[in-house]
Amino acid sequence: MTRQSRVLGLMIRLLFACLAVQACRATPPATEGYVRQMALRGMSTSEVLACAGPPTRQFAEGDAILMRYYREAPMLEESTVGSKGSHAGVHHGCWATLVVRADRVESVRYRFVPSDVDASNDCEDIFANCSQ
Amino acid sequence: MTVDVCRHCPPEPASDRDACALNPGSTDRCLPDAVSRILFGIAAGTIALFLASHAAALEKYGRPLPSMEEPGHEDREEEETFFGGYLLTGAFVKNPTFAARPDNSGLVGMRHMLHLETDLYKQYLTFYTDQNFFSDRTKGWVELSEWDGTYAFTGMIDRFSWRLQYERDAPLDRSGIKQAYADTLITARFQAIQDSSWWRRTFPNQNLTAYAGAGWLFHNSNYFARPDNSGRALFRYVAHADLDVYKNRVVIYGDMNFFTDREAGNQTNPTELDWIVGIAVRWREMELAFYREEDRPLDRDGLIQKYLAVQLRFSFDVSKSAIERLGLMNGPEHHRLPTY
Repeated sequence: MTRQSRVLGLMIRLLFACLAVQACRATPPATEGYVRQMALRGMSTSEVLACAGPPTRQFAEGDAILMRYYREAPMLEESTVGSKGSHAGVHHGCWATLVVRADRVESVRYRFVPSDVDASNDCEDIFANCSQ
Repeated sequence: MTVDVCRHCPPEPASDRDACALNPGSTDRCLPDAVSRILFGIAAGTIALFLASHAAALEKYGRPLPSMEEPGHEDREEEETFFGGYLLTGAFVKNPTFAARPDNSGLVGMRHMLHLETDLYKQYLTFYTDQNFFSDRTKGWVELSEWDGTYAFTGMIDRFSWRLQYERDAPLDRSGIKQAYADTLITARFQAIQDSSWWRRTFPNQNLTAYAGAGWLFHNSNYFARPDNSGRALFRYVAHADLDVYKNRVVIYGDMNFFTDREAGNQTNPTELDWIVGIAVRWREMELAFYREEDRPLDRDGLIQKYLAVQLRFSFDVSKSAIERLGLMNGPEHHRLPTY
């Protein structure tokens, strides 16, 4: 075992320790403040339908209409390939709920599945063609 | 801060490097300088990034949303994937030494793989299988020479993933050595755009996802500890990084797998390193990747298996609602609320 290999081994152990500590510091990802999320506010229903298509679900709640969109991260992003197999990642996706009152988007809510994986890019992709 | 910390990082051992350069025929094991620099760079960079993000912990952007949370909505819903996978086919465009059978005979020409996975219980319990087939370019590129089957349960708890896996590698066109093992693996995940405010400020449109961990091959039947089929593997250390260069459509990735030898004096020191670097371009359900792999011994001279490959992946998935439409699964009551 060369000195080079021993130092490499030490670096590997240090790397693992750093990642383990980092993993223990788990902070939930932010679900607001994204560019397209904010740009949707104030848009009319027809504008949203034109740029994002029909919602996955839509229903009324009091005087508001909730439009819900969903996008799941593609499998190619979640699963990585090694030399003789693969490493399965976390299936994740993002629900975007638009609260519409008086035909205007009042607020936009992102919800990640699972909640500790940042899937904001999936929600932002839903509204890639939306801009004001 | 990053710079200050890295001043204290272990320096590259110049004496060994010089010894290797001066005495290339030495029986002592010498990693090529470029490989060493890449490995040290990856490790040191990740550590520095961790320290930088740690220092900026108070600036993290994770904020609760008091009025917008949906309590009780943690369940997967019908639009989410029930099961998915991908088909992979690849050509080893340059392959001087990567063997086409577990006994190290032949040279791989083509690789074909089917990957299937399904969540059995949310993100906590997932089953997946890989069926890998290789052909021997010295016997034509079509006839299959090796079949590697992998079956695993895996899951994620917070940033940690676990895995329980069985793999069996067997020749297909003749009898010969079969390699099999069962292992456990625990990895920790790092997602730069989520975990590092510095990264989010500096690279708002890129992301770095990495995981690293260690595993134990608690069952081992001829699963070797070096590329020349010597020793028997006991532990493995893994590290993987994906650098999302452009909207998850262009991704640069690297992968490292170290194995230790249960027959060695020190069973925790790595005896083999398998590393991969590649670039993948994704479009819709397809991915085209170019990558290079090298499997080398670390504690002695011996066979180095390496190749350069191009591969295509086609992914597919079936949603829960599609299964429900086929009448194979009943959804919860709220799934049947009228929608319009």
